[in-house]
Amino acid sequence: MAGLRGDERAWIRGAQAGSLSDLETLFREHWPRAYRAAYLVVHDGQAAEDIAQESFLAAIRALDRFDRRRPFGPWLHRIVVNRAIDWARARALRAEVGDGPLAAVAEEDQPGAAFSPPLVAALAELSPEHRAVIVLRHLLEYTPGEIAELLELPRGTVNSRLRRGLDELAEHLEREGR
Amino acid sequence: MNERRLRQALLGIGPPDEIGAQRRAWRVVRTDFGKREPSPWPIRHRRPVAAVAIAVAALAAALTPPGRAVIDEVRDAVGTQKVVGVPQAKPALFSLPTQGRVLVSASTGAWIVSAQGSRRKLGDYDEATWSPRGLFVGVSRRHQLAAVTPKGEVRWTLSRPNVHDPRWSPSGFRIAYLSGSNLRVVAGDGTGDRRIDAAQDVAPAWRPGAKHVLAYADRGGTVTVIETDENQTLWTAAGVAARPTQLEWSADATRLLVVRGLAGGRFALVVFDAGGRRIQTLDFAGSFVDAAFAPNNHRIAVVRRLGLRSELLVAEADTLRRQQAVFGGLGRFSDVAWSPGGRWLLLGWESADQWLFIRSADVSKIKANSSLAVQFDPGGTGAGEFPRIEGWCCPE
Repeated sequence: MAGLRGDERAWIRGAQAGSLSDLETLFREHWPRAYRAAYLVVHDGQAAEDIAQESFLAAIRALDRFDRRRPFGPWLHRIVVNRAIDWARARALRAEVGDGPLAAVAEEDQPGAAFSPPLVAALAELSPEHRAVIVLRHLLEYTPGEIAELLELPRGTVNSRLRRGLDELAEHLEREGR
Repeated sequence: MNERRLRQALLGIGPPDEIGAQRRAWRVVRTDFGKREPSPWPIRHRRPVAAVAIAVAALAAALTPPGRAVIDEVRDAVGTQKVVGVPQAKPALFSLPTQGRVLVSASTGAWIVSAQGSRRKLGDYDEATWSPRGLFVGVSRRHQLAAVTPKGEVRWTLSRPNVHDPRWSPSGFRIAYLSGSNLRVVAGDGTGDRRIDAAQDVAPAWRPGAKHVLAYADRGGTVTVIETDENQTLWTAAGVAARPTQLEWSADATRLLVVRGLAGGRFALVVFDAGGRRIQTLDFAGSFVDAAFAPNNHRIAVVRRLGLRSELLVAEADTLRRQQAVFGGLGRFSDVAWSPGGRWLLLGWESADQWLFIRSADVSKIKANSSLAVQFDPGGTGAGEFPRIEGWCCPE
């Protein structure tokens, strides 16, 4: 991990100095998780792609101000998840119909895929705020304290959202027979 | 599904056309990157500037009275972010500096700390709330709300889905709590449970007094003040008060503090009078952590995070603009609570694994206690969540 952090600092330093190859390495390192996180919050592939892409653009445009002693991931994930929550809230207000929560399901040959379709459906039943804390905690592996910082929430709120989100998730999965 | 399987399953969910999406995004990012202006200030100059900024921050802490007291006692290994806290801290929580009992939620359950420092575990509960005179504690875990005595004896339980944020009314006759996305109220003896409204995930706040008046954030994020026995809405506030993160009444029931997050890493304190008239609003830099009204006046203790540092401020709710920086330190502070008489503030310093008792009148005295996490995890390592301060209540 320390090696990766060291590499990341070098990529950021290179990108800040204008190196396209360092930027590409940084992008390839962080894109998959950013895109996946956005998708799990918004449950819409096209929107997730837009959100992850716009978040990268925002991060790259502010790269000169970035303190490279800090990890890039939390900075990016803060942007991604907040934008995803905003998008999901806006869609809920628009009350779209006909575009079910699943634009696509997991590919069968991926690890853990056997659990994925019901899990995606169960996640879709949660509010965007609950989906976000579950994704941050269990996909991106932030601690509740770090999530509180990323989302600018009191830690107690993060804890209760995590607890409630997981409870609801378990209920939905149970109802689906998993 | 356990945590490991949940993570595996989340990793196994394939967003549509991952490779195509990555290719398209990279094209856009690369093009945008090609248009950027070279940095006018090379980043290599920033490290010494950051070091100076940290030194200035430390100096700023030193200029406040508590800062002077602890300036040599707080150090931060830049790069490792290890916060040592107050070295002269007592190695454990031996006693409280004044009367009363502190209610704590830890990863091991709910606990009461007596004035003599003894700790009693109430049970495996997630959250807890004092009854007004400390004769009972309302506790919640998963799908259960319960009332227990300070010895942990269960008086009654109520099963409801996803119970959290219980709050015992100052009259003693009601408990408000959130069940899923619903605000509910039950009598103090566990009877008459009923739904009040759909609500956001924000702890409701009872207005002190004999009437059962409650402030909460409704489903749309509007702050709503309701008389719960009659189900009569007294007033609402949206706009600058919408989507709050915390609600607090002053002890004399004449002020409602609404805290809400703002864009750009800021937050706002909004103060209303009892009739719903907004009397103060002020934006603050940093991330909001916690706030508490003093038990005997309109002073508010506010904890915020500012970059690497955290800060405890005390402000007068009626003016807000004259804030006293009570204590600043590196790393994360957690909760703040006033002692029953309002003479002491209890501040959780999560990064240092310490509780600080700060004499609030002149901020001249700080008592620190270390190794908090392990004290609420007997036999364990204290690796769980830092203990959360739920309230500092009345003497036994």
